Amino acid sequence: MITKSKIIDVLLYASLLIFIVFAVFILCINQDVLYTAHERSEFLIGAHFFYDLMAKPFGLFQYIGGWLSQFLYNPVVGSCMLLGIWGLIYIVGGKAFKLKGSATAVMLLPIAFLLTSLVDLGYWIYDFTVRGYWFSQSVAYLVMLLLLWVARCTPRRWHLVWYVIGLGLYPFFGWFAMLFVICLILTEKPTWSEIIGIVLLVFTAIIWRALLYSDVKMEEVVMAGLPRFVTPSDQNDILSIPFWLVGVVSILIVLAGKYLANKFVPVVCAIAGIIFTISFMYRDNNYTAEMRMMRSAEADKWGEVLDIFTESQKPTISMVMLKNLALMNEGGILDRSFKMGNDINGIYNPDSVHVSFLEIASPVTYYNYGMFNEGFRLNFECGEQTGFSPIYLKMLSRCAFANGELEVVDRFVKLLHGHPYYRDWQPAPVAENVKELHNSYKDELTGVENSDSYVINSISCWYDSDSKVASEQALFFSMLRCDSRRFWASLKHYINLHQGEEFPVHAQEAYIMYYDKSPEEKKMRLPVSQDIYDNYNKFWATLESLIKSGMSQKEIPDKMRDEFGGTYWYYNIFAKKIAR
Amino acid sequence: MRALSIYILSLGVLLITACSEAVSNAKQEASLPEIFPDYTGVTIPVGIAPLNFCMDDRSALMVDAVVTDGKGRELHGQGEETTGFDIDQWHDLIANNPGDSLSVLVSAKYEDGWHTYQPFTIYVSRDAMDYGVVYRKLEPGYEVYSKMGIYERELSTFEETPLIENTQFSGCVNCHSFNKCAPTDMSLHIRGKHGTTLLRLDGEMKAYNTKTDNTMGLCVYPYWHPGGRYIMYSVNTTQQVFHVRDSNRIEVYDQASDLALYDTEKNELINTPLLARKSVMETFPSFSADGKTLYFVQATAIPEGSKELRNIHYNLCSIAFDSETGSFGEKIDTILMAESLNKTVTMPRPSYDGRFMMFTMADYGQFPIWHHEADLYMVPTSDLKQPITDVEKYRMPVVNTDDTESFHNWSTNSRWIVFSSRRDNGLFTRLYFSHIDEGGKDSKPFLMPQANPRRYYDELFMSYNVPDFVTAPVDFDDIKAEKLINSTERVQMKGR
Repeated sequence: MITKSKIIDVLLYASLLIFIVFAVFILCINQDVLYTAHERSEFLIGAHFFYDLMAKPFGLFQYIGGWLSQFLYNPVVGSCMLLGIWGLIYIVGGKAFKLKGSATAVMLLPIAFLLTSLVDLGYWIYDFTVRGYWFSQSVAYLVMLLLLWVARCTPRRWHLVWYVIGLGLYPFFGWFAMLFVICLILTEKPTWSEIIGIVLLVFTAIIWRALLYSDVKMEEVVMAGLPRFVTPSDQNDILSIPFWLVGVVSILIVLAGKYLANKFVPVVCAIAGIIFTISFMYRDNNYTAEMRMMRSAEADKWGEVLDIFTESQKPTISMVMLKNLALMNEGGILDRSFKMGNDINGIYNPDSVHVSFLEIASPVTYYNYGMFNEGFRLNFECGEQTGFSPIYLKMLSRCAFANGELEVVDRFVKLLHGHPYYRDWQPAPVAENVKELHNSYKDELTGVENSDSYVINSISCWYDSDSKVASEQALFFSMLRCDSRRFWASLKHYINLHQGEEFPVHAQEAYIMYYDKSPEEKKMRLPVSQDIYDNYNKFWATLESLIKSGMSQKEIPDKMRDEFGGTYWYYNIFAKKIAR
Repeated sequence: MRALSIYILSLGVLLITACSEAVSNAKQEASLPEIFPDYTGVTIPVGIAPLNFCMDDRSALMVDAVVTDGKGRELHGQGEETTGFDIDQWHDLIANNPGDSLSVLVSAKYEDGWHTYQPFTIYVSRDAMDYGVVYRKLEPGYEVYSKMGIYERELSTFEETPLIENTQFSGCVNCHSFNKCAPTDMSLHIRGKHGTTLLRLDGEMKAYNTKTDNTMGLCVYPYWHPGGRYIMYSVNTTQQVFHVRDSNRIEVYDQASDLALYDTEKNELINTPLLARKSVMETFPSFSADGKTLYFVQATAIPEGSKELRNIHYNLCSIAFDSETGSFGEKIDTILMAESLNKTVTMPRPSYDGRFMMFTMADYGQFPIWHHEADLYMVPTSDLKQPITDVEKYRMPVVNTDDTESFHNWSTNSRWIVFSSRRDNGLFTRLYFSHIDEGGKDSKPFLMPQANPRRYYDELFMSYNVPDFVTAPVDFDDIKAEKLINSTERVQMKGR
C-alpha cells in the first residue's frame, strides 16, 4: 500500500531527479559555450585587477566569479562546480527559508534562473563586460542564503543587528545585501525598529556611495552587482530577467512559504524551471560551430576547422573566413574553397546585439594573414572593452611575438601564467605561411577599418608581392570580391610565380568567366580543362533555360545548386557575398 | 588600547624579524647588481618614497639591501621580491643626507646561495620636489577606451588617489592643466557625449562650452599664463590612422589647429588672426616664465585627405604677449626650424625659473608618444633669442633612450622634470623623474617608486599620460564634477 507520504516523497525525488538530469543535459550541450566563457572571461592576477573590482560594490564576488570562471577551460570541471554550487543553494535555501518536504523543491526555481542566465546570452557572450559573470551570482546568492539561515537561527531581537550587518555587507554583496535584508524583514511582521531598518536600507546605497563609491554612477550603485547588458550601442533588459526573478522568487518564498506544502509543488517547480530555461536558452548550430572553429584555429588545428565547417549547412561570415584560413594552411584553397562554399548567412541574433566577424573570429584571422599590427590593435581594443581575457592575451602575445616585441610578449604571457590552465603557455612559433604573408606587403596608413571586407580588400591588393602564398591569396580574394580588375592583375602575377604547377580548378573557372564576361582587356591566354569549359557552357545554358521557363530569381539558385553549387560561377552569380 | 597597540606592533616587528634571513657565505660579485627599476646612480629628492627594487633576474629567491650614509647610519631592507624599505626609516635617512650620497649594498639569494654585488650610489639632492604628480592613466588603446581617470600621486608615499574617473560619466577625461603646479586653478577637458571643459578658478568649478563662433572646435591643450588670468588653448581637429607594418603603430595628427586665448575675468575666448591661420597648424602653447612670450609649435597644413604625414614638421615658434592688454605681438619668430632638419618639435615647456626650454623632438607629426624615436631636448632660454642651428647639442644626454621619451613638465623650483617614457617595453608609458642641476645637467632618471615595483608595473595594464607636478593635494570634488559633467548646463565662452 502506497502511503500519502511516500507519494509526496516520490514526486519530490522524481522532480528533483528530472531537474538534475535536465540541468546536466543543458550544461552538456553548452560545453562549447562554457569553454568560450572561460576564453572571454577576464581574471588577472595581481593587485590592480583586485582593487579595480573592489572599487565597486559587489566587486568581491565578481573577483571570486572571475577566478572560478578560469575552470571553465575544462567545461566538465566548470559544470561540476556550478552543479555543486546549485546543490548547496538547494540545501541552504531550504534551511534559510525554513522549507520542509515538498516545499524545498521551490528552490529549483532560483536554480533554474541561474542556469538560464548562463545559456541565454547568445552573441552577448562576445560583447558583455560583466566581470565574473559565470559564477558571481550563484556564489553570492549561496552566501546570502547562508547568512539568512544564520540570521534566522538567532533570536528575533537580534534582527536589527543583522540589518546593520546587511548594511555593512553592501560593498561585498551589492544587491544581494538588499535582498538579504528584505527577506529577513519579511520573515516576521515588521516592527518599528525593522521599519527603521528598511529606511536605512533605502539609504544604504547612497551612504556607501558617499563613503566609498563616488566614482560609480548612482544608477549602478543602487542595484550594484545585478548584471546589466549594456554596450555603447546596445542594451538588453531581457537578459537581466533571470536575476530579477531570483530576487522576486526569494521574496515570494518568504511571503508564501506556508502555502508551499503541497505534493504537486515539486512537479510544478521542476516543470516551470525546465520550461523557463528552454524558453530563454539560446541555441543555434552556427553559434557553437563558430566557437569550435575558433578553438581549433587558435590551436592551429586546421583540419578540425575544415571538418567542423563541412558539417555546417549555412555557414556564417566567421565560419567562411576561418574555413578559408584553414585552406590556406592545409593547401588547395583555389581548388576547394568554392566547392566547400563561400555563400554566407547572417548570424541568428534575435537580440540584435552588434556582434560580427570582428568580435568572433578576427582576432585569429588577422594574425594568420600576417597582419600583426591590425591583430594587435584589434585584440587590444576588444580587451579594453570586454576585459583582457585569455583569448586576447594569447593573441596579443602571438602578434607581439611575431613582431619581435619580446618585452611586450613577456607582459601578456606573465598574466596568462597566472591562469591555472595556462601556466606553461608560450606563443607558438610563427608559421612560415604567416611570416611570408607578413613580409609580402608594404607599410601603409589605414583608417579605423576593422571588418571582414577590410581583410578581403587588403589581401586582394597583395598581387604585386613576390610571395607565392600572397599571390595565391590575392588571386583568391579578388575572386571572392568578384573584382575582375584585381583578378587579372593577380592572375598574371600568380601564373608567373607558380610556373610548372597545375592551374587550380576555381582559378580556371574564374578565368573562363572573366575572359567571357568582364570588360577588361584580356591579357592572357591560358589552357583550361575541357570539362570545366563544357561545364561553364552548361551553366549558362541551364541558367538561360530556367529564366526562359519563367522560374523566379529566388528559385533558380536552388534549382542549380546541386549541379553547380561548387563552382565559382555559382558563387559569382548567386551567392550572398561578404561586403566589398 | 595603547597596550594593545604596542603588543600588535611588537608582534609585527617580531614577525618581520622572524621572516628576515641573514646574508651568509655570499659569493662576492665584481659587477653592480642588475635591479628593477634601475636605481643605480640616480639622483633623488629628500622626501621621495622609498626606492624599493627587485633583482632584474626573476630567478632570485630573495633580495637584500643595506643603504648606508656617510655617517654610517644604515637602513636594511629584505624580501622575497622587493627590498621593502621601512618608509619612516627611509625618510629619516634621506632627510639627514641632502647634498650627500648613499651607498647601497645589494645581495641576492639564488639556488646556489647568496651573491653580494658591488655597492652602487644614490645621490640625494638638496633640491626639493613638489608634493605630488597628477596624471591620466588609461589603457594604451586606439579607438576605444574603457576605464580611465585623472589620478594624484603623493610622491613621499605610494598613495594614489583618483580625482575623477570616466566611470562617473560616459566619455573620455583628457588634458588637465594647473597654473604652475597650483592645485587651486585647474583646467580639465572631457570628450564624448558630455564633452566640456571643467575650469576650477580659486577653487570654484564650472563646466564650459568652449566652442564659439570664432573658433573651429573645442579647446584642447591648455597652458596657464603665470599671472593666472589667461589660459592659452589650442583648438584641434585631430585624426588618427594606423600603420600596417611600421613599428610605430599609430599616428595621431591634426588636420587643422589654431590657438585661442581665454580671459578668465571676461569669460572671453580671444581669437588672434596670426595664431589662427588656415594654412598653418598651431598647437601646444606655453608661456615663458615672465609671461611675456608665448611659445608654440606650428606646421604647414597638409591638403585635406592627404596621408603624407611624414611631411608634417612642426617648428618651434614664439610671439610676444602683453598680459596687460591680452594682446599678442605683430610677428611670429621661428626659434627652431625643425622642418629643415626633417624633424618635428612638440610640447615646448619653459622652466618656471626662466632658465630653460624643454621640448620633444621626433621625425614628424605632433603626437610623439607613439614614436619610438622621440627624445627630449633642453635649450637654455638665452639661446632662444637666435634661431637654433645646431639642435643636436641640446639633446639631453642622460635621460633619453632608444625608445619614446615624451610628455614632460617641470617642478615649481625647475630642478626636477617628470616625463613619460616607453623604455621599459615599448608599449606602456611609465613616469620617470630627473634632476636638472644649476648648469642644466640632467641626472639619470628614476622610475616612479612603488611599494613592489615589479608586481605593480607588471600587473598594470595602463599607461601614464600628461604628468604634471602639484604643490599640494588637489582636493577635487569629484561628485560635483560628475554632476556638472552629466548636466546639460554649460557656461558658454564668449568668442572675440
